Amino acid sequence: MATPTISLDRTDPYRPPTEHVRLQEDAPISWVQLADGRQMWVLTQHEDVRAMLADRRFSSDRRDPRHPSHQPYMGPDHRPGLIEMDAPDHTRVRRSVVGEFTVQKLAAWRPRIQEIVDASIDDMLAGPAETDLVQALSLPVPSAVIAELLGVPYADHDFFQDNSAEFVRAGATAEERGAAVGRLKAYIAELVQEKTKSPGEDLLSRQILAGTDPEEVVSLGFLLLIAGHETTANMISLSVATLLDRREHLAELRDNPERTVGAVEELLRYFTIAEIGAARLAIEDVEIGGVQIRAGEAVLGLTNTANRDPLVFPEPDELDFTRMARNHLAFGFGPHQCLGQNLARLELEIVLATLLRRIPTLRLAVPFTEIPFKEKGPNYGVYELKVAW
Amino acid sequence: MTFVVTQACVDVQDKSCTQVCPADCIYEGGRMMYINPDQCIDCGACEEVCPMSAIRFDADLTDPDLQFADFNADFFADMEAPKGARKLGKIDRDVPFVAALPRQAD
Repeated sequence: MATPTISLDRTDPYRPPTEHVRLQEDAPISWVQLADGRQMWVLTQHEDVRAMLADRRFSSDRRDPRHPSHQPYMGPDHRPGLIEMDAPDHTRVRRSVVGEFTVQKLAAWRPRIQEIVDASIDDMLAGPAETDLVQALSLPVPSAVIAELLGVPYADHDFFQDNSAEFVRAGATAEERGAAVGRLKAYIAELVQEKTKSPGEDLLSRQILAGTDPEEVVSLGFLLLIAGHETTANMISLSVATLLDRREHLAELRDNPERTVGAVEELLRYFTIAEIGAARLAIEDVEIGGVQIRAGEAVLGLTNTANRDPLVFPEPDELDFTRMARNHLAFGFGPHQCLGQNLARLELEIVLATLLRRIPTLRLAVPFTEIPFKEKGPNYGVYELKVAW
Repeated sequence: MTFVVTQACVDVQDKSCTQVCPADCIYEGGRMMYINPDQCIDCGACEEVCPMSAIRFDADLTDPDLQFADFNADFFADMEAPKGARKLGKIDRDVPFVAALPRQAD
């Protein structure tokens, strides 16, 4: 997660970081030297990023010191998580869990997600008519959903939210990140032990019952718990902030609720919150976009600029809910494509539709420009979103 | 194999799936699409975009679609490992069960 990259400063909250945009404008593929001296190829166009992410000659194994996401703690004893694996290990683990996240499986969760969203909005309406949406809705909804799905007690949400936030905090040192990982994994390991004795009706229990190695269950639980709430929370906050700032889009969704699904897809494209892009290591010579990439060279695919590629998304800086934006790369692409993408879509759709319907007078309580955006971390988002009604 | 195209695709072939398949492993047959089980990478991208909900995870298949896991595999049985769906284009044949189905009304 802590890939050192090009500056993430931005001048416009609705556009990718300035350096990313500049790289895309200057050259679709460039050889970039980072502040720490490391060098890597940076891909900025949709076609090239897609080609790279679908190609198994680019490795996700971060134990190799030449990998852009390599961390000093990833020595030979480091046990790679799902996002750090290549085939065939990756294929085996992904296959063991992908069935939990199919559209059909998740459809059964719709009523329960609706209940969770309604309960959060009930709480909002019962309190003062001004609140921080991040704490009232954006974080609690995905946290409660992923906790239930995994079989993690939601009562522990402060613990796992705080440690996840530390893990992705901009400016956190490797030691601080490592400590947060250690606490979360110890917590999940304890849960896995309990579930081994008395399994429940949840994802972690099903993994245990299927005979998955306990350490692998812990690793998977850790990944799904973090990825399952932090990212979605950011997307909820950014989406609501955008709708409240650009009232014409809010009105459009109110008048055409059937556009919510398209709006979710477009907002995913527009913000592409995984700021640092997708890092890989070439393990063979590969030609991408007419450029020869050599085995052993690091590559970074910028999904945020790829999702503003005018060749694929005409007028890319326009937010257009009727655009068929399905082929965006906000969830990545290829074997490592976000496992929870359909859960994220479902949560976003239900949250946006329900919030607009139940609190029609919702408005920003601070000017849009004063919203504290998460600008320097691995994921874009907002720290706080004061709203009123 | 993990994802499987089922009967709901017959005579529809919307092909949204081929736009999002990173492995280029969803081939166009005469009357339906077929996922090459040896090339599928389990990403699940196709399932989400299928307007017919015709794509299923194999472990979740129920009757009468259960047999389509074999049908998808059978389609490729006599082919030399195909290089990719886009290059190959339409393959104008189907597995016998599909070929024998009455034409689906629009």
